[in-house]
Amino acid sequence: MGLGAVLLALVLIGVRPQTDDGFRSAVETGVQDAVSSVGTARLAGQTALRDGTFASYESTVLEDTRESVATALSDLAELPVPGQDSQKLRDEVLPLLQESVRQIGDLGTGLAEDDRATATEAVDGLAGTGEKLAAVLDGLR
Amino acid sequence: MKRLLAVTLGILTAIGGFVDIGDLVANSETGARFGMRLAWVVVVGVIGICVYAEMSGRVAAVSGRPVFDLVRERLGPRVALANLAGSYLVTLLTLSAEIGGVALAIQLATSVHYLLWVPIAAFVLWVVLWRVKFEPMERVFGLAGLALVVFVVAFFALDPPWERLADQVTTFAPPPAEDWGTYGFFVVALFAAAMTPYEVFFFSSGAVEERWSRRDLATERVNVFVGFPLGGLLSLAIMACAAVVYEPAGIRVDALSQTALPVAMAFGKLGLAVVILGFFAATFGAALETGLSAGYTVAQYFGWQWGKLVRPRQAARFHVVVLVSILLGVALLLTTADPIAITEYSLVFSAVALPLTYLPILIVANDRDYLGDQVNGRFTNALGVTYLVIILVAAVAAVPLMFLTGMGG
Repeated sequence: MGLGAVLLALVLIGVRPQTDDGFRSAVETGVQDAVSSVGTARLAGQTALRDGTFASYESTVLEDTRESVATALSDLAELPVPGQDSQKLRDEVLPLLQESVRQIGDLGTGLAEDDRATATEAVDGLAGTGEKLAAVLDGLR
Repeated sequence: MKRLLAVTLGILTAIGGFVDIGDLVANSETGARFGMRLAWVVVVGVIGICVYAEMSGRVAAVSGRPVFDLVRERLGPRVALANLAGSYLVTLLTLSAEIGGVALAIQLATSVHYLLWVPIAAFVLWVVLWRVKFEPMERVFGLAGLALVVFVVAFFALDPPWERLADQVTTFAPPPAEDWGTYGFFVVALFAAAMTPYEVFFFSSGAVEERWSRRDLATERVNVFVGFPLGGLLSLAIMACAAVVYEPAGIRVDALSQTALPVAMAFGKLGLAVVILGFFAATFGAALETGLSAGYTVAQYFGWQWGKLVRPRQAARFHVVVLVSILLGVALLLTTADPIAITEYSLVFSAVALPLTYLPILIVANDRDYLGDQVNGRFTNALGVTYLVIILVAAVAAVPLMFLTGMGG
C-alpha cells in the first residue's frame, strides 16, 4: 500500500505539467551551459589565432563546446512550453543557441582549413553572442 | 649525499604525485565558479592529509604492518569487512576516474575520442603494474607530474588581478551568483580531493613495500610535511588560473580541455604540451596508485601475500584483484559515463568513506602495543581529533548536499 503510494507519487511528479518557474529554471541551466561553452570556444579561438594551441587540442575543445550547446538546444526545443511568458523566453533563447552552434562550427572549420578570416569572424561573432546570452542569464537570475 | 638525494627525490615525488584527476577537476571547477573563495578548503585539506599520512606512515614504519591488516585486527573481521567494502568501492570509482583522465589527456594530444583510448590506457596500466618495480614506477610518474608546476608559472604570466583575488581569499561566503548549498557541496568536494583514502593505503603500503623502519621516520615526515604542502600549492595554482581566466567571464568548467586553456593562453603551444604531459603523468600515476590500493585493501584484509616486492606468481590473488579492478573501472567508462562526472561522484563518496579508515588509524596511532614510544603526542592527538570531527561532518553532509544541489548544479 505504502509502496504503491510512493510509486503513484513518483508517476504524478513525472507527468505533472511544466510550470513557468520550472521552464525558467530549465532555460537558466541551458543558458548557463551555453555561456560557458561560447566563452570557452571564444578564448580557445583567440588563443589559436595567436598560434597558441595545436590542432588536436582545438578540435577537442571545440567539439566539447559545440556538443554542450547542441545538447542545451535540443533539451530546450523538446521542453513543453507552459504559457505565453515561457514561449517568449524560448523564442528569445533558441536563436541564440542556434547561432552559437553555428559559430563554434565555423570557428572549427576556419581553424582546420587555416582560414583566418572565417576563424576571426567566428570569434567576433561568439563574443557578441556570448554577451547576449550573459544578458539573458542575468535577467533569469 | 645519497640520503639527501633520496629525501629530495621523495619530496619531488610527493609534490608531483599529489595532484590527480580529482584535484584537476575540483580545483578548476571551484576556481571558475568561486574564484579564490574556497582556497581555505585546500589549506584545511592539505593539513588533514599531512596529519593522516604521517600517522599511517608512522604506524606502517614502526609496526611493519599496513593499514588494512591493522584495521581488521583492531576492529574485528565483521566491522572491517564493511570498512573494506566501502573503501574498495570508492577506490574502484577513483581508479575508473583516473583511467578516464588518462584517456582524456591523450585525446587532447591526438584528438582521437577518449573512449578509444580507455582500453589501451588500461592495458598499459596493467602491464606497468605487472612488470615495473615499485620504486621506479612511483618515481617516474611522480617526477613527471611536476610538469604541472606550469600552472604556478602560468598564474603569474596571466597578470593576475591581485587585489580582487586577495579579496576573494578573505571572503568566506559564496559569490552572488551561487548559493550556500552549492558552496557547501564544493567545500566537501575540494576537501575530499585533498584527502582521498587511496593515497593513504598507497602511502602506508608503500612504506611496508620499501621496508621502512623507525630510522626512516624522519624521511617520512619530511616527505609528508614538505612534499604534500608543495603539492597543495599546485592545486591552488590550478584554482587560481581558473579564477583569473574563467570567473570574471561567468564560464563554468566541466571538461579537462578547459583546465588546460589558461596555460595555453599564457605560454602557447609549449605550455599546452607541458600541461598535457602533466595531466597524463598525474592521472596515470594516480591510476597506478589506485590500482595497487584496490589490491592492497583486499589482500591485506584477507591476509594474502601482496605487493610488488614478491613475484606476481607468489602474490597471484593480489594481482588478480588488481586486474579485475582495472577491468571493472574500464567497464564503467565504456558505459559512456562521463569521466568528469565519475570523478565528482568519486569525490563525494571518498568524503563518505574517509572516516572508515581515518578512525582506525587514529586509534592505532594511540596504541602503545603497536607503536610503543611512537604513539601520538598531545599536539598530534589534538589535530587528529579535530580532523576526525571535520571528516565526520564532511561525510554526513556529502550525500545530502549532492542531492540538494544536483551535483553542484
